[in-house]
Amino acid sequence: MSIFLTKDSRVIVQGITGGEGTKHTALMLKAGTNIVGGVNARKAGTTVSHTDKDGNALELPVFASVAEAIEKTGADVSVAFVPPAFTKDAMIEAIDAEIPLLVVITEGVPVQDSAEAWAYAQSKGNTTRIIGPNCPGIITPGEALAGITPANITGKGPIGLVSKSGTLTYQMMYELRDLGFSTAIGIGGDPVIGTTHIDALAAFEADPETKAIVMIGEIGGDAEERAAEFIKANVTKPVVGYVAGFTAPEGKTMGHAGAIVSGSAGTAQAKKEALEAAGVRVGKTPSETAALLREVLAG
Amino acid sequence: MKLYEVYTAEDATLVEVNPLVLTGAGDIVALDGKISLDDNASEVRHHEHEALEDKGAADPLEAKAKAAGLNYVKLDGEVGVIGNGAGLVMSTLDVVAYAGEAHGGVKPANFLDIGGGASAEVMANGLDVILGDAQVKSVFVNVFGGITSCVAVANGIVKALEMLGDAATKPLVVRLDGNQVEEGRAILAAANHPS
Repeated sequence: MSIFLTKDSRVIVQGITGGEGTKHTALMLKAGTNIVGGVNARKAGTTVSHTDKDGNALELPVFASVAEAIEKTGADVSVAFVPPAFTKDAMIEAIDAEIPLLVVITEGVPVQDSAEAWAYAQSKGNTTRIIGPNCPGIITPGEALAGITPANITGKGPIGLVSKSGTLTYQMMYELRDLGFSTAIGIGGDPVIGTTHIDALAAFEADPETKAIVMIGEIGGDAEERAAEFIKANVTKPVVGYVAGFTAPEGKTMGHAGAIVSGSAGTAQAKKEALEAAGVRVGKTPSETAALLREVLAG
Repeated sequence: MKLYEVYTAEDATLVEVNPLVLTGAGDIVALDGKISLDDNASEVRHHEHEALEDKGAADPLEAKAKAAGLNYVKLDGEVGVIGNGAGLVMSTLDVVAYAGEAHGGVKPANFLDIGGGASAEVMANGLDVILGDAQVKSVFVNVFGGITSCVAVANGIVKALEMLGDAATKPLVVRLDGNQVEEGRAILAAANHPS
């Protein structure tokens, strides 16, 4: 088992003909993902050449729209690699086509565009789960990858991981590579995102394969505080946490658009305290967090 | 309503009027206001926002980094930090500060995220900005090789040092982990940078 993504997921790529789309389609195929086609209205009717994980040649069809791709291939996941100026339209197209899972990798999407697309998905009854934007996507090791997470770090195992940061996701997977992961999901560091820490925690709680959960947060917003409340009320599995940005100065955006301490709000210290109050053990460094996870997993 | 129009039309993330006062004469007057603009939107569709920027007020190192397309924030310490990925760099600043507690409060000098690729040119630009900071006494590079292998990262660091030549005078400590880490470390060992 896993959350949101399995070996049976049928994946399409929005922007499959672009540079990033081409590169990561190849890597996702290599990771075992069942990619069934892509979307680019201007190149509809053509194909793109790739190889599957066993080295067999593949011709992937390019469709005019997400709706057409779903109709022709039965796709249930879309990964979007489209430039920021066109990301909102790509998201709305995918939501209109009612794709169950939409992973938006693109960095630099205007906040109001993300907010509009998010509100649109809500108005459509949330038939589409959005992950991102500005995120590394989701990987169920050994089964499928919808995003840009390196697939060769580790394999399947009992840990569920949810993180705002891409490289800290990779770092944590590497620290715990001997144990392996059920699913690792990078939700992104933008101020407005689709899937939240809470959504992932709820799914990991319900997933029988996940035995323990690592939650990685960073400065800005109050997502970690809300997750702490959710954990206290709803999560029975052990959770360990890590928060980046204790030394971040007030009022400066630290790389991720959402990573900013405003006045006394959004500090790493406040997030750590909220998590600890909910019974989550919080590591001072990624390595210490990995060690805590080993402890809680051993019982 | 007009506030909302400003908010949407200008792609603001904040439009605030504070304080708003009722004068003795019965007039409502906005005494102060504040607007925060979304950098992503300025990049995508509000190029005119760039003209509003007070370049003279920016930290010179931050301005130099921005001109080179680098994600840099100047801090008030002695250890220059370069890493890939915003989360990892933030984490690195924390770890440097913790480690520095045992050495009389040594602190990180900056935030610098060079992104996923870590090419020689980006690494050289990053090192150039950091070495231009007179406060910096040493540099810590923390890179996790994910899609980009540690071999490419190590080659990037070596080439960056070649490009900088004699300008690279401060001690450099590299932490390299992830994909092809042994080969990457071997490249750095072979290059044997004198510092």
